[in-house]
Amino acid sequence: MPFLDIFSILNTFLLVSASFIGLGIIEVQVPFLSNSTEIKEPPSRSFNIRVDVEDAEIKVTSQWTEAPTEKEEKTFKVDKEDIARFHQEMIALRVKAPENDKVTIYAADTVKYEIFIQALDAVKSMKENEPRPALPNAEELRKTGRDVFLFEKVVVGSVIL
Amino acid sequence: MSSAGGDSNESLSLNLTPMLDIFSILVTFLLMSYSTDPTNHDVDQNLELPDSVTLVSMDEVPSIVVNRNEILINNKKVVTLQNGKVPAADIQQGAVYPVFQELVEIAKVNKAAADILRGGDDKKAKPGEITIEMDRKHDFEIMRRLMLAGQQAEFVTFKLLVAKENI
Repeated sequence: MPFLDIFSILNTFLLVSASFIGLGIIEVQVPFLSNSTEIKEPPSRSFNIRVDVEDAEIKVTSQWTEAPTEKEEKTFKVDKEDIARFHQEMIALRVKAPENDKVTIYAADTVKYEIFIQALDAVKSMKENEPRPALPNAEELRKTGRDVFLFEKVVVGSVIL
Repeated sequence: MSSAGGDSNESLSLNLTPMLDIFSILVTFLLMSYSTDPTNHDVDQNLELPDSVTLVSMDEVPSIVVNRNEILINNKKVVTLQNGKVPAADIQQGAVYPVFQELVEIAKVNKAAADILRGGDDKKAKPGEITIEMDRKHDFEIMRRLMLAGQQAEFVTFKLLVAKENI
């Protein structure tokens, strides 16, 4: 039957080209010195967020660069529930200082790579059906497709000579 | 008199209807997972990627692959790992020196190509980007040393390949 011929050829072709694992990327940066001649005025008061990933815990430190610094430190365990709470804390920090879209992350050498990726996910990625945080430029982010990021710029601070 | 195997006049016929059902369901499922994305990559067999909820898809084939036993750059083995660690002889100033040497060559080629496209206007030069594929069970130490080597070779943006949890 020609119908069967078509189906078997189609099946063979689709089986060969099927992709059963979706591949994604998480983009990070390392500290670098720019040789640009432009001198930018540093903002008068900015919000810094630092994440320290250890084997058994993740610590988040946030503070303003000038008084009142309002320094806060929170610690989370490396398990599914606490990483979800860590992600909610990062959302709260994003809403607290919407103009800041950068986080610096440090990790101990003994941390497993999969744990580091989980921490990066909680800092950087928004899930598909997750409600987006209420930011002033939320509409612009949605139009440019950048609303898939919670913090778009993640710098791996551990990478220094 | 019939044979032990049954009546010799019996004929077997293939039941096509259920076979067509199977084929059509199979085709439907495979069509749903068919991708026309030009970027296609087979993950190294000696590694397992970490899971991630990222929605950003891979846009370039990884240049650095760190599987359970070795580090490869553009499919060329540069370092053999010992017990999941970079040998001390391959480490200089905290970075993986053979990786640094290969990345310097890649950076030269990229810069030459970019110069041709831009007409040599260096003001618009952007720091390099590179994609890394690494096994989930490795320690962060290897990633740190790779990033250090990349930083010294003027690569400052790293795209870490992960397995999407939702395809």
